[in-house]
Amino acid sequence: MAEITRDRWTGRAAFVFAAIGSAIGLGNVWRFPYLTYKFGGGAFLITYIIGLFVLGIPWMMLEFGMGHYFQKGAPGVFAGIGKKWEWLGWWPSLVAFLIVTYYSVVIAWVLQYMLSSFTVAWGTGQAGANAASDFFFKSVLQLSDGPGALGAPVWSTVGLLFVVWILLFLVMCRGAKFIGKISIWLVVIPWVLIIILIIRGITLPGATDGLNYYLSPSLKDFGNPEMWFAVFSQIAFSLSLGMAGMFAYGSFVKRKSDISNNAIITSFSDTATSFFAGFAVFSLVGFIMQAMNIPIDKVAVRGLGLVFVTYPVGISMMPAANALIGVLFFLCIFFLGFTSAYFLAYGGVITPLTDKFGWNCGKTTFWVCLVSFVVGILYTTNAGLYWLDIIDRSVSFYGLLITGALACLVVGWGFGAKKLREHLNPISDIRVGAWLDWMIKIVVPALLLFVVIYGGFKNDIPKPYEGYPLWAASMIWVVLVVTLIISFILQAAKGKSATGGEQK
Amino acid sequence: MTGGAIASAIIIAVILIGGLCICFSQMGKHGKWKD
Repeated sequence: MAEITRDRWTGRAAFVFAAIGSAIGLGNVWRFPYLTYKFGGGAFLITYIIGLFVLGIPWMMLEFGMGHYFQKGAPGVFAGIGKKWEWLGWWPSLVAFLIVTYYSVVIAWVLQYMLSSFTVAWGTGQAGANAASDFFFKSVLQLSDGPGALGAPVWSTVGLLFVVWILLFLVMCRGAKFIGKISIWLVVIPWVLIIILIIRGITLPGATDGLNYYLSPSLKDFGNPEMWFAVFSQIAFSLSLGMAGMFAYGSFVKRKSDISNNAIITSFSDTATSFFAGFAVFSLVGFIMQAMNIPIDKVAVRGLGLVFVTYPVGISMMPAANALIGVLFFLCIFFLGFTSAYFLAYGGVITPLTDKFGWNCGKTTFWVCLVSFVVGILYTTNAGLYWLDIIDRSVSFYGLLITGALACLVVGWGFGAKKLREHLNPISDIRVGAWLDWMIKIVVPALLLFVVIYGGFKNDIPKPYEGYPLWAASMIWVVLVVTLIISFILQAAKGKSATGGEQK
Repeated sequence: MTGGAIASAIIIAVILIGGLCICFSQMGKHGKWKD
C-alpha cells in the first residue's frame, strides 16, 4: 500500500540534488570559509574530510537509510523501532519547525538586500562602505538595545517574509516530485553564481592576500582541540542532519535504489560548495583589506556580518559593476537558503504530520506555511536579531546535537546498526563494512555529545549565552524542554495511519 | 599566493573532485541509476 501511495522522487538525480540543496545553505558561505581561515587553512580542510567519514557520512547514511527502510519521516521511523521512541522523531521535527521560522526571515533579509543591490542603496565608494553597517542594523533591522525591547515588526521585512512563504508554499504543495525537479535548478544556479563571484573576486586587487589567509596551511593546528571541535561542529551543522528532514528525503527513494553512494555524493558536494564559496568570500575580504587599508581582524568574515555588512562593503568599493555583483551575490545566497528552507518545512514538518495523521498534503502545507509565517514575525521585530540568536542556539545547536546523538544510540543499539547496514548494502553502489556499525553506535553520538559539552554546556551554564539577560538566555533551556514535552504529546496523539514496521 | 596556499587549494580540490568522480563511477554497480 505504502509503495503505491508514497510520494516519490522522479529519479536519482532529483533525490541527490534535493539532498545537496538541503545540505548547502548559508553556513557554507558564512561559517565554513571563516573556520578554514581560523584553523590553519589546508590543515582544517584535510581534517574536515576525515571528519566526514567519521561523523557526517555515517550519520547521513543512518538518516537516509532508516527513512528508506521504514518509508516514513522521522516520527514514523522511531515509532517503527518501538512505539515508545516516537517522540525522538518528533523532537527534531520541532527543531526543524523552529529553525525554518527564523531561517525564512534571514531569506527575507537577503531578498531585501537583493532588491537594494539594484541601486546599491547603502551607497558606493568609501561613503557606501562606511554606511553599510548602519544600513543593516538601523535601516533593515531597526535593531533595539536588547531582547526585552521588542518594539514593532519591520513591515517591509514582514512583507518579504510573506513573499518567501508564498514561494515556499508553491514549491512544497506539489510534493516531493516537484521538489526534486526544481532542486536540480536551484542547486545548479547558485553553483554557477559562485563561479561568477569567484572570477570577479580573484580579479580584484588584493584578492591573493585574502586567499593566503584562507588557505595557508598551519600544521600545528592538527594538535589543537579547538580545531577538532570546529570540524565536528561544522560537519554536524552543515549537512542538515538532526533536523528530521533527511529521514523523509530517504523515505521518498524507491525501494531498490542506492542510499550509501548518494550519502557520500551529498556530503562531498556540500563540502566542495563550501570550499569553492570560500574563494569568493576571501578574495573579496582581501580586496576590502587593501581598498580600505585595514587588517583582517577588522573585517567581519563570518555570520550575518559577513553577508550583510562585509560583502556590501566590498560591493561599494568595487571599481565597476557594483549593482550586478550585489544582485548576483544575494541571488546566490537566496537560492542556497531557499532549498534548505523547504527541506526543513517539507521533510522536517509536513511529511511527519501527513505520515502520522494522514492529513491532506496541500492543506497541511498551507497551515505549516501560515503558522511558520506568523511565528516568524517575532524575528522581524526590532529585537528580532537577538531572538534569532537565542532560539538558534537552543534548537540549531542543542536541539540538533542532542536529538542526533540520541537517534544514533537508539538506531545503533535498539534497531541494530548491523540491520541497517544489511539493508543498505544490497541496494547501494558502495558496500559499507562493519566500521559503520561502530560509528553509529559509539563514535557519532560521542562526537555530537562532545560538541554539546565542549561548545555548549561549558560556556552557557557558567554564564548567560552571549551576555544576554538571564531571563532571555534561559529561553534556550525553556524552548528545549517545551519542544520535548510537545514531542511526547504528539507521540500520545492518535494517528490516522499506522506508523512503524518495514513496508515492502 | 604563497606556495602553501596554492598547494592546499590543489590538494583539497583534487580530493573533493576526485572523490566525487569515484562516487559517480560507482553509480549503477548495485543500486539502480534511474530509480
